Amino acid sequence: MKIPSLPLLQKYRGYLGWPLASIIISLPLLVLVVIPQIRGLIATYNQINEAKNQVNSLKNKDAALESVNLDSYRDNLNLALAALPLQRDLPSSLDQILSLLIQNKLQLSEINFTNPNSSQPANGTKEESYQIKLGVVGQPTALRNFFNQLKDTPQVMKLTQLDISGERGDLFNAEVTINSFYQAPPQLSDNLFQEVEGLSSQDLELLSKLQRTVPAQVTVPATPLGPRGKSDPFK
Amino acid sequence: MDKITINLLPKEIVTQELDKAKKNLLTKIAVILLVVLIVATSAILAARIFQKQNLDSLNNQLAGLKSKISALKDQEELTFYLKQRLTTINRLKSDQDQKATQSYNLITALTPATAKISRLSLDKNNNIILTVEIPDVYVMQVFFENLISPKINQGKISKVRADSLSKTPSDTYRADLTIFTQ
Repeated sequence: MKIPSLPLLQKYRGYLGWPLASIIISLPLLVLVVIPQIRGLIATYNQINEAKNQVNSLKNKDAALESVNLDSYRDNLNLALAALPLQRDLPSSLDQILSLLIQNKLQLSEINFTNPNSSQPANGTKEESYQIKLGVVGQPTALRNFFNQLKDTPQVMKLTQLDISGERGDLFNAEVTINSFYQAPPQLSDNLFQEVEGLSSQDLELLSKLQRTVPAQVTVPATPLGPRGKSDPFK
Repeated sequence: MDKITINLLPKEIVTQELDKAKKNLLTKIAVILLVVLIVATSAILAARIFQKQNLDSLNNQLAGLKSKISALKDQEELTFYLKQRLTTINRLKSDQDQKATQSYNLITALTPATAKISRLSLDKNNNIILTVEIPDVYVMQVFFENLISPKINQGKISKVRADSLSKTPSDTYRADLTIFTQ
């Protein structure tokens, strides 16, 4: 079989030496080295950026945690726990309510408790509450003062339902439902990169308010000390 | 005067010279491209080595910081618990969350001094069910105006429903109202 001659190739044979050699070297270099390395370069650049962000985030967190004064924070946590206990603190709630009733010269005609959230397990993600239902007799202004002072009690309590009747001359009969709040300890996430939130001006304001209202002797021990009687009056 | 140029070289030599020039140009281009490619490859490899060192250093830094932060677990727990608790307390103590007290204060402020509240109930939605004894029509007008005028009640009342209105034997008016708060 006769191979057809390539007159064009014959003609330009002299021109093709270096360009051909260049292509033969360049192509594998491009395909096997340059392109994979450029891809790697981009991927590593992203990794470096991510690592830089992580380092910055951890540096900030470290600085924030280093600046925490453990004693002062413990005192503040004790104040916060007096306001929002870890578990139902009925004696403290009652003590504060009765003080307010006496202060406003209101008579207590009945009292009972219910716990609307008792069936739910306490997981610390959300606050829980139990209800204190009071029957109160007194002057309308005294009642108003009682409701307003209830907002400022050391322990977080909220007036949720109210039924007042003024059938007894100047005295009003009031059925008052107050929710008293508590919150189990929250679960701290294992994520090291979780930011540390500092105390806002609102938090500091609240703490100074709590310092004024929470009695000085209130401290919350990490573990209950000694016999404390029935821990849950609802059971 | 026009210039006159005369090329006395034979035509074949001119063609050969032109071919040679083209060949040289092609060779130069090929060599330059090859050199550029080799230099670029070397630069990329150098950049990769530099990146690797940079990444290793950052990873070391990261590991150091992680162990440092793990050692500060007590501080982290304390700040987290405190912040979370204060946020909850702030929310619960906020005016938005003390609506019942607000509703009660609102009604007692809007009720004229001569009108007598004989029954007041707050339901779970903080709507107010009110029975009030009013001495005369003028006071009644003032009271209703207080309830329905957004300027006076600061827009806190969305709707007032009069369930009943009657005149008592003692010539006073008795109104049963349901007041819907916002």
